[in-house]
Amino acid sequence: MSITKTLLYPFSIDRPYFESYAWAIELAMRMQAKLLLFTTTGTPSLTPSDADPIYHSLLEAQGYYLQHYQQGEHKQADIIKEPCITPGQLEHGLLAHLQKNPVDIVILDSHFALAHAAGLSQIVKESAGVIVLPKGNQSDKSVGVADHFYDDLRRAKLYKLPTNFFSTLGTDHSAFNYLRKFFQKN
Amino acid sequence: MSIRSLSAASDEELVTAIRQNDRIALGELYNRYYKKVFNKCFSFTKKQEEAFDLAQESLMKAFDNIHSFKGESSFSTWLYTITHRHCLATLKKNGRFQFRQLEDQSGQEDDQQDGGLASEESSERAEQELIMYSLINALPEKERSLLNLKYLQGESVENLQVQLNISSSAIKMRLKRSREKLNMLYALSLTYGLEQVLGQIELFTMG
Repeated sequence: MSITKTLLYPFSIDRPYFESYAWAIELAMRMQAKLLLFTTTGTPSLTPSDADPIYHSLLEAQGYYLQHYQQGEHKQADIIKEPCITPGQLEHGLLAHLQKNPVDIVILDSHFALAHAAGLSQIVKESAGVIVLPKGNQSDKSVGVADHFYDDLRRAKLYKLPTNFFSTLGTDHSAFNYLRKFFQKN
Repeated sequence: MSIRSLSAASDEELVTAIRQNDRIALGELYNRYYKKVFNKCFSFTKKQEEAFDLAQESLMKAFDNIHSFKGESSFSTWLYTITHRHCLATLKKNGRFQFRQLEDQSGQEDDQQDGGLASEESSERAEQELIMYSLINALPEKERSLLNLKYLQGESVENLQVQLNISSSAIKMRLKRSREKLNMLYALSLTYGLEQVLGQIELFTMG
């Protein structure tokens, strides 16, 4: 019996996030995991007018992914993506969510990690594993999606990642191709 | 296709460029429609999260299969048909949408469970269902509720008599008028477009 892993990707529509969103999707596809897209409205309560721009932005992010990343063999449709929108502030909302709903890995982009540096240790404490993506993860996409993905993973900061994380990625054939090119470069 | 000419390009020109693996054209075409697709889905579900799921699934379905777009209709019609069909199929699967076609069957329609469920394979039927469903939802409460009871929930005239405490002939008359109004609105929608009619529904349903 396989148990689906859950990844959580917090984002804010007030900052650019499409690149790290795409990376989170790539990871979810490689792990065949469910991806929670977590954000908060910044308002005390959640109204449809607060949520509307978030849903629009997520659809736009999906278009960005389609345009820049989606390749023939992997399709986004193969993974479950679930928006999770709550009222309040992002860092507090995220911690409260993690305390009630444990996830396997939290993926943070560099903007988030910088803006919430003080809360990072708390997020790591409340998570089974955390990946902080490198600053300016704008790798040259012409080198290929797999290389882009592994370049960012190589430069990311990893906290408490479960050992099976790497064995999961070990089944990803594109990893081998990436490593081969990497060693050839050096 | 150059970035400058992208915004001036027609949808069909963008589709041609996408077929030649132009990813920027794909981004442009997607951005033209994602909000509209979301709004279409929302008009079905009235729930944002469900509308989001349906919109992203519909968009992926369309853009993954863009090579099957033959240009027999405009791109927007093709995309909206995919969206409508996906929404209907999902709502049916979840048991939330069982629309029976409103047909006059020689005066006996009120006693029958008329019309079959629309085939998911038929885009024309899906289109018709979408329009009818949206128009019913836009009718004044009394008419909407009567049509829903009769045609969505399949209540018999006898049951409606008891529920509404009016005579069978009055129910039949109301149903007849509501159907005629719907038919008129349907014809107007086909002529002027559903959104146009929904935008001025009060004008059409006065009296």
